[in-house]
Amino acid sequence: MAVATAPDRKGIGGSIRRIEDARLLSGRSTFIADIGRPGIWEVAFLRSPVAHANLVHLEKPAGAEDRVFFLADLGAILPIRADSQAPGFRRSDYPAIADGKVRFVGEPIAICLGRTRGEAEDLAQAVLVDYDELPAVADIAQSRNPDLPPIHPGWSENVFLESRVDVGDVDAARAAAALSLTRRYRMNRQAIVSLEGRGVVTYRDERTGELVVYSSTQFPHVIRTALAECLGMKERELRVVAPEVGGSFGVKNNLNPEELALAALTRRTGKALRWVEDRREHLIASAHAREHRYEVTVHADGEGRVLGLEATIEVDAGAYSVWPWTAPMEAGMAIGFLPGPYAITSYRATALTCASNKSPLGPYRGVGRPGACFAIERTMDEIAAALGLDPVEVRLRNYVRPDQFPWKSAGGKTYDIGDYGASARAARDMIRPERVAALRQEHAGSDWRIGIGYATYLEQTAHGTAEWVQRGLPVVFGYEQAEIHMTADGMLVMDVPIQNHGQGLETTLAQVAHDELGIDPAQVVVRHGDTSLAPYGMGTFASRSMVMSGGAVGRACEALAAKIRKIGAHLLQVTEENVRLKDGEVVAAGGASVPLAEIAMAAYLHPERLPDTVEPGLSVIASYRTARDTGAWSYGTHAVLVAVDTGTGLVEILDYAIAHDCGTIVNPMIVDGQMMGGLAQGIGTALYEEMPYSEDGQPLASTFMDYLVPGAPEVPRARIEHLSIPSPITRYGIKGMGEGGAIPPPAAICNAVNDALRPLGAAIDETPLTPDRIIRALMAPQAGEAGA
Amino acid sequence: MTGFEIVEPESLEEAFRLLDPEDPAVRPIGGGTALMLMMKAQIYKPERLVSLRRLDGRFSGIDIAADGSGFRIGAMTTFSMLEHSPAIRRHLPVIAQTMKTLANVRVRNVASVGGNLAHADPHLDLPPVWVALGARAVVVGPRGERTIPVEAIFEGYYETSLANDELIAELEVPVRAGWDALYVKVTTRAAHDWPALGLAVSAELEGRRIRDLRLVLSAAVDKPTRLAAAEAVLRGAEIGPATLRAAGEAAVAETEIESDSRGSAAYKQHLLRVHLGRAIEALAAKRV
Repeated sequence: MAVATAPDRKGIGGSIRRIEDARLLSGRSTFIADIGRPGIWEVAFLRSPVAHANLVHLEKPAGAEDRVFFLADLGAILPIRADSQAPGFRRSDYPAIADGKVRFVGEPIAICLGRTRGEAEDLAQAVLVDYDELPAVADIAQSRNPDLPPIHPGWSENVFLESRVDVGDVDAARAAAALSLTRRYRMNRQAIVSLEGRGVVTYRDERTGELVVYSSTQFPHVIRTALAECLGMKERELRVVAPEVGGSFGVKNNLNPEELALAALTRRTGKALRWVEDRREHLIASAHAREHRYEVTVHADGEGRVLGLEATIEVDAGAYSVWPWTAPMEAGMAIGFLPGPYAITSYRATALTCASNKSPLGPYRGVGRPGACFAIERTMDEIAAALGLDPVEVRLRNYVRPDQFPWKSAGGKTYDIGDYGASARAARDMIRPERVAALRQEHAGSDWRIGIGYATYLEQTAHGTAEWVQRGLPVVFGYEQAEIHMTADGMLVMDVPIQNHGQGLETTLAQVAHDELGIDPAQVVVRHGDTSLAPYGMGTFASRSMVMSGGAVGRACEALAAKIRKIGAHLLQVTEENVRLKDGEVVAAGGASVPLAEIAMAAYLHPERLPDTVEPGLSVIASYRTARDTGAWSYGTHAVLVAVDTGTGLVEILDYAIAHDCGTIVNPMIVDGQMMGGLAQGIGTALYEEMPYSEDGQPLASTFMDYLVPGAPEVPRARIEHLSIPSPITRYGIKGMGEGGAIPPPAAICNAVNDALRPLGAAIDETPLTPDRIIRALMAPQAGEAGA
Repeated sequence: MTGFEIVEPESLEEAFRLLDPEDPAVRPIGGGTALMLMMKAQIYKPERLVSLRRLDGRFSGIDIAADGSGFRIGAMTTFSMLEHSPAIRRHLPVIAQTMKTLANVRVRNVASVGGNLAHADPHLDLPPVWVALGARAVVVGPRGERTIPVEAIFEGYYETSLANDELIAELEVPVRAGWDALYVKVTTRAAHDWPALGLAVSAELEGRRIRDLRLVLSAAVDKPTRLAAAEAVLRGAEIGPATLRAAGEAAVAETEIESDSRGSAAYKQHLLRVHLGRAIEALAAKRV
């Protein structure tokens, strides 16, 4: 279905310029580090330099006792407790600052105050800490080693949870299979790099009686609830504000110990405090991501149709279960999503969530799915290679067909609608595999090898109550609200509890308002990220905001439109059925019109002009949830052409094509931008980003010199095709799409590299595909034999 | 960050007075691009920094000898000045080529030639190039001055042969007719990564015969290191696959390469073999 992209279109489907960009591009906006208070103290955390130790003795520097604070100095405060409802889950209490023990390098031990950050850091270095070091659990393989100490009290092994899936008849599939393959895959641990790090400002507002917490977060209302519980305060005593947030990607989607620590200290001392995370803290102490290992066995018939799938999945979730996601969510997503877009009915898998002395694992763009996609999409290529079939053809034989929706997957998910084959064919048409032979000819005799790779992904978005209950989280993210007001001069102010940290939501929500009210998006102001402004809501994550907040805004605008039409019809002396909203006016069938400003003036300042049946005021609060709450499923296929330098192991991306379906598109330009941003991070996972730890639990990439994110030279401009089948379960047919771009690039790129190396007998199944690993793969014995 | 003082002497005598060879918290500062990072990371905590930026005379300027036989380059010359000097571009094009992948314009605008050498971080790009070009450094101190080959500055990771009260004042760089040079910055990951190895090559070629050459390896080793054994294999030899392979093996045999986050030792050895051959071939291709 073609999307209307007429350049003059302002509503849904129009590529209008982003309203929020003027303030961002001119550097005028306000981030955490821009927020000050009279007498504010700068905070530096003393962080653990060791991975696992009991704190035997803590001592404040002489003369600075009133500027150094340990946990006992913070008053009554509960640890962060993110319990999964899954049976067998092992609990980990995450204290705001260390409670007698440290469990990863970077864990906060003390809060130190200074008039400058430098002064606070110097003070942190002067704190005396006596560590009784314990052996560190630094690798998944050690999580069940009985010789290593338990990370948390009462644990019998360093495992948060083991879960299982067994559906269909895998044994029958194995018996019937013409081909059974076993492969091992690894997606290594990453940091989650946002341009702006985390940060918190806390102070007491004596006028309102509120403890004010500014935090660079994705979900202020939820943070307020969590803080209230940990601090034993009433929600009304807390105000949480997310100011401008400079990127987050999931890393700001957790209740952080630093948020809790600063709030507690301000409550205790009355001091205004500011903590701005530096890059070293961000890399070692912010939540990490990925670190999946898979052993996949697939059973297929002679035509490449998958009969059954078996898998063992291991995820290293780090030292603590992060709130509200819980430690097992990542592995739970991986086991649920491994069957991918394929009509697999026999599936048996185990997912192990291991604990380690590393920074906790949290959500990162794609959450669980980049790893699952990597494993299943590599496996589809291996089936094709083993049977001598075209990899797209093998996928086409296995996709859930358009007539099979809604499809209940072997992983327990309900896919709503789609044409996965159409995305694969479109991506193949864009990448043009027929040119590979000529390229290989051209580079014959050189060190360059050409390869092509595909990967199809599913992106469950805007999932509601049913899905979150199934995941067993402490909070169920089932809905979203919006509160809208027309001002007395006819502009529209929308207060929403979601958070806009780069997605262009101020623009796209205004486009929704345009469709409902005929108002120019330039006349719409979207305010977000402030518990004092907006009604309760869940925030921005899981590719939910456009669907959920868009739906709530749509419903609120629809209700407001009805009232405006009533007033307009009355002012125009026609019946309500004979007016419509267009271009900022209520227009009668005959052509007479009255501007919104005049209607607003009547509603607020001249009630005598209102019909008897209409109450003054133009405010609406509405909530929204999707018709079915198992998610709106975006999907797509990425296709990539690479050249591999077999001399150095470097991978060059020659061409990249994306064909995807995210339902009705609100703003095609913004969707393209989201796709490119996701692709950049996916390329990071595929080729560059890795957070290695030493055997004793030291993080080995604590600066950007060691932790590499792709820069402009590493990210090609992808060609993007939108397929756009509207979702049957959401208002406007929108599907979320914030994460999809980041899900399949590791799989597609790894498939392409393996395609290039296959004639040499070499295989690589670990991200990032560093040149070092590629050369090792080329030098592995089996590669030598096949190449000889 | 604790407080410190920064002083800007205008004469060499004053600079020597302000420096204290016995006190590690007193250090000279050139452009400061490396020192500031160390200070931010709290690796280095100075009490006094003696800036050399107001020292003029021999510490600044780029001059070419009247007969064109060489350059004199003041130690406080910034990378940008080198990069944009028409004379350097003409006679030492390898310098302009190296600048293309060296840090970014903000760093190049302040980083100084002398500070870059005195810092003695083996990952830096220019030091191996100076060594390949046969450059010499003029070192001044309270007890007089001496001129040494640039390679003699380096003793190891961040370690130099300079006394604590000695300053690099200028470089002398010969312009050798018939010689050509290039620098290969091998980043194993993204383009902006630090090099896994740097390879500077200068050579005098006669067709595909190598009359003379200098091979210098950096980044993978603890200091810019001449590859004497590999040079010996290639000196006087015809360029061909067997010779280049032999030179690569000699280079690997004569160096001690360690594993780090940019690659394992085995991988960097492999890169050395591959890039040494490719660099010689690239030089030969330029001459044709």
